[in-house]
Amino acid sequence: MIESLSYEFMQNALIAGLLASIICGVIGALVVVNRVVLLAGGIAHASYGGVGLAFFLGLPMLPVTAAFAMCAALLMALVTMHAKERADTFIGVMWAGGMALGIILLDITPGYNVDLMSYLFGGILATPNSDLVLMSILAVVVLVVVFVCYKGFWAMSFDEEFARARGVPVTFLYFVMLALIALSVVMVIRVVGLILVIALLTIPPQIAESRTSSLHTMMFLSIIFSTIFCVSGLLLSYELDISSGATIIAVSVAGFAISLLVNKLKGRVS
Amino acid sequence: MSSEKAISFSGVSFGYGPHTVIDDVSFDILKGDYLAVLGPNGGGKTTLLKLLLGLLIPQTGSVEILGLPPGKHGGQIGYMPQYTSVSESFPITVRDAVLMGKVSPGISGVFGIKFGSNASIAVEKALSRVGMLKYIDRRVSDLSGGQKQRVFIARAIVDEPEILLLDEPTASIDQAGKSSLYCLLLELNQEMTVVMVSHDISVLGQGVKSVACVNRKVHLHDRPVITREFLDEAYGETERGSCPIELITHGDLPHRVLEHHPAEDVVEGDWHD
Repeated sequence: MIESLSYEFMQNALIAGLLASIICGVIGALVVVNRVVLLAGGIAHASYGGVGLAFFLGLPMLPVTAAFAMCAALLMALVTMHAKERADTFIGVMWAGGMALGIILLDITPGYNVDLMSYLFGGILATPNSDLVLMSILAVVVLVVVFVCYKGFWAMSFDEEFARARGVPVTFLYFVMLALIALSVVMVIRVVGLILVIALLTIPPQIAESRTSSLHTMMFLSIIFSTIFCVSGLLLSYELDISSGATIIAVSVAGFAISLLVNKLKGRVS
Repeated sequence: MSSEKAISFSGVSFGYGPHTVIDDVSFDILKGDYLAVLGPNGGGKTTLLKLLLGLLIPQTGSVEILGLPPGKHGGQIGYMPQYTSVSESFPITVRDAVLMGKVSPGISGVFGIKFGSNASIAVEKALSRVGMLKYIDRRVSDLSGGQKQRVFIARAIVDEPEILLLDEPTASIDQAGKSSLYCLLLELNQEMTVVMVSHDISVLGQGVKSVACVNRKVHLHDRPVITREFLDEAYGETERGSCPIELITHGDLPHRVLEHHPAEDVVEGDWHD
């Protein structure tokens, strides 16, 4: 197992896993406590439309996908705010519509096409150095924005209505949060794939939530859990020679099941 | 009660789409009052509260609180939203939950992680006033319904407001919890104006000084006495006339409301004979 760490692709994969864990740990905690998991999933899937658009127009993929995801997030946010009871339906429509648009645009684009599987499960073992740089920049942006606006995010996440009545600009913060989610999802999808992004955004924060009594330790614990899942998943996939993305998800899901079991046993003792 | 106005509505209307919820409403509430806002579900109670807080803007007319338009009051208004607005499993201690009441309004409430230096003293003071100081380091999600409501009252009063607004404070708690909560509100009323929205008619025996009946219109009663007119306004007349018996038997202690009803105050239409 140790010799695997001497390969550059393995080192890059581990660094990518760590960066994805930092980004997803912080953003995922906000996603879970604000109950916007469905929205985050919707943004992630809809962003495939951006991938298709970039290939169809022959433009660079990252900026186009990021812009597309941001627009999708904005639209979903507007609907969530103004027609709460219809929000889940609308998110479902954008979820499916974005993916379909992406597939159709890739179909009618001549030449080489990215295949859907690599988009779904990513290629963490093939992470180039340039992606590591981009992810590092994003990780810094996410940490700085969340740190600077921490009090606002904290107040909004706990009790939106109280924060609003108190005069905290909740609408502004909500849009900032969705923009961060969209940006994070797009960046991290390139490396780890769409399904792993959603797993990393939800599972570690969910495990962390019941084990702490503050939002910032929840973020910190999410990063720790997420890193453990990524590293152990990667090493396991190397040893067993199976897909890395799927292995990381499998390890995370196993971790989630163990966490539920521990919570249940604890509840019985106390 | 002083004669100064705490809250003043003049000609206020508000509706969602074509549906009018508050229809040309004018009334004043004096400082030091303890007002129960009663009425049927969907009658506009919560809308009234949101107009007061500046969360909704009246379509016609104007609202003034302490001489200022809504939303400009800073820490002078303590607000306790309905229990359902709180994220249930959110990781937070009682101390931090009360500290939220110190979040500054506007963009300055967004930045940073620290609160003022006196904040932790204010938090402890607010918690001891609601009798929850010994739970200060507990997780909010581990508390009972009544304890949580006390913590949220502490959050509402931590900035020492002049007016305390509560939206259905007793909705999720048992009878014993309700009684002690009403005692606490009565105590707080010594120092501040209290406005409590409720659908529970049993609040009338609990020290409330006046009653506002909300059902599109608002009618103020300066004594907490149930009259037939009051029930008609609050709950609407039914086909068989508005005999309140059924409503009252569903309440908790209806006779306490009726027994303080002096004979010379009986007015026509009063449900008393």
